[in-house]
Parts: sequence; C-alpha cells; structure tokens
Amino acid sequence: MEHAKLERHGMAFALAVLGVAAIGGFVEIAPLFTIENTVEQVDGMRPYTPLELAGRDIYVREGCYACHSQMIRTLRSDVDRYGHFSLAAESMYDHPHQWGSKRTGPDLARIGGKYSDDWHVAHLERPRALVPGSVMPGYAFLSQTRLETDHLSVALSALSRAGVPYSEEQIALAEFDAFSQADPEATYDQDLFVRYGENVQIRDFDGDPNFLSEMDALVAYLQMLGTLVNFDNIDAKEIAR
Amino acid sequence: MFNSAWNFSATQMQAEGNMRDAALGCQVAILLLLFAFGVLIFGMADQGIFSLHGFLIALVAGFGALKLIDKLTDPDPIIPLEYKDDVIKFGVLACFLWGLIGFTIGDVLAWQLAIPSWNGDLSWSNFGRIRPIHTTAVIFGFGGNALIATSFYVVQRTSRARLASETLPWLVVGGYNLFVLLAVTGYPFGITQSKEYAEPEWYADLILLITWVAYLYLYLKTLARRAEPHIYVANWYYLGFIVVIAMLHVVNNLAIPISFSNPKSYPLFAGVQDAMTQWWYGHNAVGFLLTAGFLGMMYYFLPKASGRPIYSYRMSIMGFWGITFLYLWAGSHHLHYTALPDWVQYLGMTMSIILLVPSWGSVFNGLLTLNGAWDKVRTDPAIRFMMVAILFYGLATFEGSFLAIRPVNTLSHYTDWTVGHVHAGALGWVAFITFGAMYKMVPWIWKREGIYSLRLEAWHFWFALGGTLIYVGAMWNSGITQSLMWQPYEPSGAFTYAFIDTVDAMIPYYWMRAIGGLLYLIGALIGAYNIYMTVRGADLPAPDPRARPLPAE
Amino acid sequence: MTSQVHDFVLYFSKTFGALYLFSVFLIALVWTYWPTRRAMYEDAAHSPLGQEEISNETRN
Repeated sequence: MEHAKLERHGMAFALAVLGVAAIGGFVEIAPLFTIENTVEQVDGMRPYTPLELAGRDIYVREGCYACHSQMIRTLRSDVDRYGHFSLAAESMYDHPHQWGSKRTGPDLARIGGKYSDDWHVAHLERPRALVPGSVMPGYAFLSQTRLETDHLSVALSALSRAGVPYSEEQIALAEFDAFSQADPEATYDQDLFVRYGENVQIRDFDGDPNFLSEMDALVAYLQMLGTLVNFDNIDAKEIAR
Repeated sequence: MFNSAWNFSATQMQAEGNMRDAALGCQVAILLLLFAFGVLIFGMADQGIFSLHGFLIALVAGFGALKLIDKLTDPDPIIPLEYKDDVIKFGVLACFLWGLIGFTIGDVLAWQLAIPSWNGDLSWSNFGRIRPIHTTAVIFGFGGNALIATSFYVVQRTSRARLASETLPWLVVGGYNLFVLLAVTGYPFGITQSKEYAEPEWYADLILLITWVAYLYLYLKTLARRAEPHIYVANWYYLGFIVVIAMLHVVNNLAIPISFSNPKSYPLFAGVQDAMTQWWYGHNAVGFLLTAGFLGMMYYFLPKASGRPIYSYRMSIMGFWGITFLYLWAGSHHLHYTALPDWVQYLGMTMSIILLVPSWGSVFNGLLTLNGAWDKVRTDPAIRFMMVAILFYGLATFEGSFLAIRPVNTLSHYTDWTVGHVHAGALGWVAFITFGAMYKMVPWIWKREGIYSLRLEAWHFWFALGGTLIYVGAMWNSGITQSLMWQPYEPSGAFTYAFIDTVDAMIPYYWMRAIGGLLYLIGALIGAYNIYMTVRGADLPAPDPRARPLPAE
Repeated sequence: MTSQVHDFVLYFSKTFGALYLFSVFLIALVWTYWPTRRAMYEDAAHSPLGQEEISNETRN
C-alpha cells in the first residue's frame, strides 16, 4: 500500500534526524557519567545540610544565576580575583548546577567566609547602602519571611533518589536539623556534627535568633560556598588530570 | 485509499469512521488523564499559585475533553476540501501577544539594570524572577507559536493536503500555550528550576512533552497525506526542529518532584553532568528552535514572497544535515575553562567552528535566492525584513563560531557580549524572519487583499532595525569594556579595577540598551496594530469561477 | 558506560574521527549532487511557486 510506504518514509526520516542529532550528545555527555574520569576525588565534600539546602533553594528560586556565576575558570584573572579554580567535585551535589553564564555581579563560588553575616544581611537588604553603584535588587523581604521547613524531609528524600547520599536519619531529622543549625543556644549541636561532619557552621545568621527566616537559610548557604574543600592538602596531580 | 480516493466502498467508509473514533477516543483519554492530574494538583497544593496552576490544567483539559466527547457522538463530519487555517490564525495571534509581553518585560529588565531602583525590591518584581518571563515569552511564546503556526501553513501547502486531524491541531496549540502560560505565571512566584531557558517546573514540562508528541504525530500524518513523493525541504527543517526539541526537552528536564503539594523538583543530574546536559540543551534550543525552525520558515516564505526558487536546493539539503549533525556537539563551548573535562571543551570548539560552513551555506543560499529580485527588497518591506534577517543570521553565526574559540571566549564569556550575540540572533534573525513571514502569511490566511498599511510595515522595519543596531552595539561595547577591565593588573600585582568599577562603567551602555529595546518594542507595537487592522479588514472578493481553469504559472 | 569506552571515544576523536566524518560528508555530497537526482531537486525547488491548491487525491 502506497500510503503506508509514504508514512514509513516520513517516520524513517524523523528517525534519521534523531539518529544523526543524537551522536553529538551521546559522545560528549555519556562519558561524563564515568564519574572516576570526570569528578576528582577530594576530601571534605559533603551533602548540604537542610538549612543550607533551603538557602540554596532560595538562591535557585530568586534566579541569582542570571547575574552571578559559581564557576571559577582556570584563568589567572579568575583565580586571582575569586580564589582557587572550581573543581568538578565541588558541585557534585548541586541539583541543579548553578555555574551560571553571566557576571553582572561577581562570581560567588568561594564567597563563603569572605564577609561577615551582618554584611551579607545588610547587603542583601539594601545593596546600595553598602556598595554604592551596585545594580543588585534588594531582598529585604527575605528577613521578614518565615522559612518553610515542613517539606525539607521530602526534599532530602527526593535528592537521595537523585543520588545524593543522605542517610535515613538525615532525612527524618531534616526539619529539626534546619532549626538547630540557626540556633546558637542549642545544646544538641553535636548531633549536627555527627550527621554532617565537623565543617558545619552553627549560629544565628540573620541577627534575629528568635525567628528562622529565609535570610538565615540564604546566608548559611552563601557562607559555606566554596569552603568545604581544603586546598592545602589536595593532590595537585589529581587536579591536573 | 490513496489512489482511489473517490471510490470509497461502504466498508472503507466504515473503517475510516472507526479510525476517527479511535483517534478521538485516544485524545479524550489523554485529556481526561490531564484533567485528573490538574485536579490532583489543585486539591493537594499548599501554595496558592501551584493550586491555581492545577486548576488551569484541569480547566483547559476538561474543556477540551468535553468538546471532544461532544464530537464522539456526532455522525462523521464532512471535512471540507480546503486547508485547515483556523488553528493557524490562533497561533498567529498568540505569537504576537506573547511577543509583545516578552518584548515589554525585556525592556523593563533593561531599565532595571540602568536604574536599579526600578526593581521595586519586591519578591515578584526583582530582576532574577522576571527575567525568565522575558526569555520564555519570547523564545517559546513568540518564537514557538510562530513556528507552529507557519509549520502548519507550510506542511499543508507543500503537501497539498489538509492537516491530518480536525481536533489534534487544537490540542497542540492549546497545550503549547497552556505550557507557556503556566511557565510565565509561575516565575514571579518563584516556581522555577533555574536551568537557563528550561526554567519551567516538571508539571509544565510534562504538558509540553504530551503536546510535542502530538505535534510530531500530526506533522508526520500530514506529510503522509502529501500528493508528491518528495518532501519539500522546509518541512525537513521543521521536522528537525520538532524531533530534536523533543529529545532535548526530555533529557534536560529529567527531574524528581518532591511531592504533589509543592511545585519544587530536583534535576536528576548534578554538577558537571547537569552543566553539560544543560548547555547541550541550551545551545540546541538555539540551534533547532531558533535556527532550524526559522530556516524552514525562510526556505518556504522567501521563495514564495520573492517569486524565485531557492538558489540551490541541494545546498539547502547539505545544510540541513550539516546543522543537524554539528549543532549537537557545540554546546560545550559554553563551558570553556570550567571543570568540564578539556577534551569535551576542545571537541565543542572544533565543531562550533566547522558549524560556520553549513550556517553560511544557508546565508548565501538565502541571499542568492533574492538575486534578481532586489527591486522587491526596496519596495516590499516584508522581503526587506527577510533579507536583513539573513544578514543578521550570517553575523550571529559568524560571531557564534568566533566566540567558541577558547582564547576569544576568555574575553567574551560572562559579559554582555554574550547577551549582545544572543540578541543579534533573536532580534535580528528570529524576529525579523518571523515578521517578514507574518506580513505575507496573515493576508493569505485571512484572505485579505494585502497588509493594512505598507507604510506602517516600513516604519516597523526601521524601528526594529534601529533598535537592534543600538542594542547590539551597546552590548558589544559593554561586554568588551567589562572584560578588559576585569583583567589588568597594577605593577604591585593587585587588580587595577575593583569589580564595582566595572559595574559603574556599564551604566551608559545599559541606558543605550534600554533605549534600543524601547525602539524595538515600539516597532513591534506598530506591527501588531498593522496585523490587527489587516485581520479586521474586508475579505477578498470571491474569485470569479470562470477564471478558474488558468494554467499553473 | 565503562572507562574503556570513554578511552576509546577519546582515542577515536583524536585520531580517525575527523577523517571518518569527512568521508561521511563526501558521501552525502556525492549523493546529493549526483547528476541523475538533479531533476527531482529542480522540481522540488519550484514546488512552492506554482498553484498551491489542495489536492483531491489526498482527501481521506
């Protein structure tokens, strides 16, 4: 039947297009999933704590990537301005990555620890009060918004299905951990160290210890960015590869 | 049934009717599933906007399902022997509506950078939240509707056949515009994946996926009805656009939703794999939505408008396979000097440079098609739109290959040069070829004598050209300036400029860009008015039946 | 996807890759520009220019 033949022809054509088009992606993307060739082994990387993750979700929600990159290239002018170039391992738990494509503002891959919490809060609330000439919008509403925490357990659980190694305990206690990380009075902070390692910053981030705001979470996230890997005892040969 | 169209036996008629019922039944089933999906979200969502989105999905799917169920009980309809153009008219209007929204928000964003207090510092009005409204409304709302509408026009005319379904085309444009609506109304409320150009969350992505499969099916079915053995090349490009966008959309949007009560999801891939997948997607959304689709538009409307065949049909075929093969390799040039393995970066750079060959092949093919019809470029603003579009396409593809070279990329990456490059392509190529094609197609499908006003069309052209040149010029300057200010050192080893110095230096260019964008917006408003008046105008007089048997030209 | 495959892809793209792709390109070129196929493409190029009336034959 001629009709059927012609129909097959169109279909075959579509399949040919798909075949030709798929080659490039297959060759370039599939090998990246051989993790041992793509992501270096480095010490210090750990999944985000629930509070940092909540902060990261706010970073994602506000579309910060439109103006800030999180990827220090191997160029001298990048490294001198922002710090050691970014390793693949440093974004291994980033769903999605926020490498960005535009620097209307500076790179943030190693912003953690460069400024005080107070500076971050004041700057986020009124950027031009601290940096005259800045074109950044103000985010004062973050300080007034209560942080949503009741979804954090399902969030961690979704991430664990995507391959982030959260333990069942970490998932179950996500909401509790988010509160205790921003509570300087907490007597149970050892729990957080046990669950997430020693490199967790526990304090009130937004200057209001009685209220867990979105600002707490975002600043907690910004203050840990790029601080996990200790570059003093890293194998230079491993990176060069 | 192909050869003996007029000799339907009773059993054949019966079979046809059953086929139609089965197809309708399938569509109803899918719509009912979507309806249930919408109701589920509506009921479980704990955020107002997500709940509203569930309601919208249920409303649109439920309305469609009711319409179709109504048809199921009808006797088999008499399908007129003419092209199905009503759905194209909807697509044209949607295209202009989204275009105006997208251009307006784009210019608002430009002013926010020039005058930061214009952000308002409210959650929903800040730059980061409304930027994706601009990109989605323009790329998917304006560009996507233009492609769907013109592809329906082209596939019918070149196949000499009516669209293969009466209902499916409406589901395609309806579902597609629902996707765009869900996307842009979610962003101000913070519903986004923040994957550039793939911001919509999983439930909107799902609707696009279903729509897209229906679109592909409809396109293939319509091609299967064609009267000639050869498939005209414009359809190749449209088909390439449909197939590749389907592949990219699925792979890049693989994500794990956290629940039905919260719109949030986490992409399946992380870090370097996510980055590579993202730019494989991002670059080829440019390659197949903004390039291949619009080349399909060019390869039909340019010959049609100028009355001349494509200069080299065979070059257009070579160009098609070249673009289809090469584009997919080029995405990694967005990640030069990053943590992506070097060999992928070099491969991306090499393929990007080779990509210039088929790209410029298309440019020469387009321009040489006009050879001998240059008088029309002067007198017909629609052809002038198309010609300038081809020039901008040549410029943008050369620039693209150039920026993909690693040392050049160190200068351009992360700066406004990228923004300028994208807008040379989007304002200059995509929108210009669309306006040119629309100014031709609108009078044809609404059966008008011609466009309402050629003078307004010319005004639109000059506003758009002026706006584009100012915009792109400003961004080249600001991009190169900023990059050059990032790099110099003092003899002491310190940087000459603090980052904020480079921001201060951008302000005049931000103003220029905002003014250029405003000119472009004014041009588009004039164009929309012109289209509106054309649609409102009088029908062509019915052709004299005695004049019918004229020999074909 | 094992690391052997990864290494093979890398080896191939660094050595024969370009040659292989170039020969595919040449085959496509010869196929498209083969003289006997010329008439078909000429016809196709003119197809949007004539009358574009809907064809009876395709009605079903």
